[in-house]
Amino acid sequence: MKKEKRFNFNLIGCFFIYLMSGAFLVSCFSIEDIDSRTFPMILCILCMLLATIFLVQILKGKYTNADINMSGTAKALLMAGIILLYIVAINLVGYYIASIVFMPLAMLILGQRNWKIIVGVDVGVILFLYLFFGLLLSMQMPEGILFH
Amino acid sequence: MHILEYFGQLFTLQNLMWLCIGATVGVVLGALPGMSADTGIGIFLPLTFSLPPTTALICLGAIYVTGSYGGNITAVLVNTPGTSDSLFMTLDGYPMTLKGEGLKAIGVTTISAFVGGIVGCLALLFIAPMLAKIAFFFGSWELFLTVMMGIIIIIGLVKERALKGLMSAALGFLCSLVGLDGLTGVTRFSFGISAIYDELPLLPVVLGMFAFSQVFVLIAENRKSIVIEEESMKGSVWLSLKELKNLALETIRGSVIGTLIGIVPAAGTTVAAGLSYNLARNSDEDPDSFGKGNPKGLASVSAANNGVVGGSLVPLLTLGIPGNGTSALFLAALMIHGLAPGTQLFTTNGKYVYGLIFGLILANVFILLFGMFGARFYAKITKVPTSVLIPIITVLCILGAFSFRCLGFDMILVLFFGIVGYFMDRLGIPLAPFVLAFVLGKSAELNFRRAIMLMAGGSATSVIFTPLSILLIVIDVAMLIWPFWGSIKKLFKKKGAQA
Repeated sequence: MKKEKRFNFNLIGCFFIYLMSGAFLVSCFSIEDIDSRTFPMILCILCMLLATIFLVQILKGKYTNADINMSGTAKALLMAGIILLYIVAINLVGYYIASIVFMPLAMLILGQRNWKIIVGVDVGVILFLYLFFGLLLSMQMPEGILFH
Repeated sequence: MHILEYFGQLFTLQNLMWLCIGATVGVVLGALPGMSADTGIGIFLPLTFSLPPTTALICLGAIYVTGSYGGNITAVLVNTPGTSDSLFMTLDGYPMTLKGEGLKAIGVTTISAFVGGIVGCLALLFIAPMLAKIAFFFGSWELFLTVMMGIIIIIGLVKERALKGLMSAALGFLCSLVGLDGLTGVTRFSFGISAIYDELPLLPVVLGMFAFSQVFVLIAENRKSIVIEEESMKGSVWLSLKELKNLALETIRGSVIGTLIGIVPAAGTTVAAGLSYNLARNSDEDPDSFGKGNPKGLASVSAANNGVVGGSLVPLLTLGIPGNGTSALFLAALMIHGLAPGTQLFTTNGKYVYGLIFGLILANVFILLFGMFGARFYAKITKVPTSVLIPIITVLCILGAFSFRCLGFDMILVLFFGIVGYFMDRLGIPLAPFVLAFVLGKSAELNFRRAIMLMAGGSATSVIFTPLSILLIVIDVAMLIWPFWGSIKKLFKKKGAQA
């Protein structure tokens, strides 16, 4: 029976290093001053060299999926998406209003079902943020464009 | 006036009240992601205008000392360093918490921070003018070699996962070069994004890599709370005599390193903590236990961290050279209150300076009381369900990232680096080398290029072969070889046996 070949997740890391160092290297060529570009250029090449050694070792089978745990990534990325929406909401309606909505929503998604806890934490944290940062420290809070 | 009389003048109701206010504000700000002693001093500076100079300096000094410690608690318990200075605490502190030794971890970090702080203050009190002369010997080349110590530490940190660690460090180094070139003023790698035209801000990157990535890890692992076992927090925060004895060497060494590195301008807490950690690890009988919850690692870092506070004030008070950002704010505070830094400050304005130093000592005592008696309360954070903790960490980190530059883009940045950190963690690529290289990269490049310019403009030998530079080169080489010394010895033995 033919053994099914599994995707080696280490390749993601390798690809990411190539992508980042490649982008930096291309950007180096647009820097006119030679002093400013030499050091980063050497670093980019070093980075690519390391990524190539890594790739060779992956292909040789030295790095496998044995030490990698990617389970739950979909759930983590879903949360990342919600946080992104939260950041967009902050830019629209401001920090306090966005946080009042985000916290109970996140708590519900993460499995909290006790309404007393959800409401208590939501109100308590926002109150603390307002009193400590807003009033006591007079800190500038993110304001949404809708209420600016 | 005798030095002890200065100590006596500290005990007025007004001084003690402002000391307590400063210390409490410092701890809270230090613990909150994105806030730091800088924030506290910046905010409280105008509030102290109307206070007598001694009281004002005591309050600001207390914020500085306790702000440096506040981040330890969150770094140890929830892997969220309040400031980038506390990032080394996560290496052994958080694994201790995961093993159910959160209380002990708070005890270790509190006691060693207290000792580190006191050693720094004593240096300030008794040998400040003498120590200040050290700062004069550091040119660009020496500063480069000092920063390189921090970079070399990376190699020790990633010994077992060398290739992945080096890739992580190289990437961190590259990211540190984003923004204005300090020498030529040319903008590099901004990719058309105006928000990173001058630099990739430190705090959103550190918060993203440590705090946010950890949030995603907790979600992916579907953990109900940080510490799962019911019995996990039943230990004591108080350390036994045997434990204290075990940690004594690392704590005292860390305190001295912190104080000395604090004196070197721009070397900073990261280098001090990294150097101390590396020394503790390499001199230990079981170096492999470091990074997995070894209290010695935590003690060495905490002591160095707080030792820097006293050390950084040495060149500031005696020469007017601020060693880091926070002491630069302190310089402003001194000048606002009509105090000119210099050795004469200790003679003509002794009552203010000694008042400040004794205030710093009392602030360290406050750390001890705050840490030891409040530990059980803070440790409860680890039992809070992740369904509650994660949204709280998220809103605080987002605010912390924003507050750094008041730019909405930084909120996106913290999320981006959180996702990058999550994937690096899952793929077994260590995060610490990235952050360390990111923190030190710019300074290393700048000082290296300055030194090269100096060499090109004059005699290279007069730059490279100064006694201090030779000493630093020897230390750098020793640190480079030390982690592999065991393997090298084995190799020689093997070859000897074959011969």
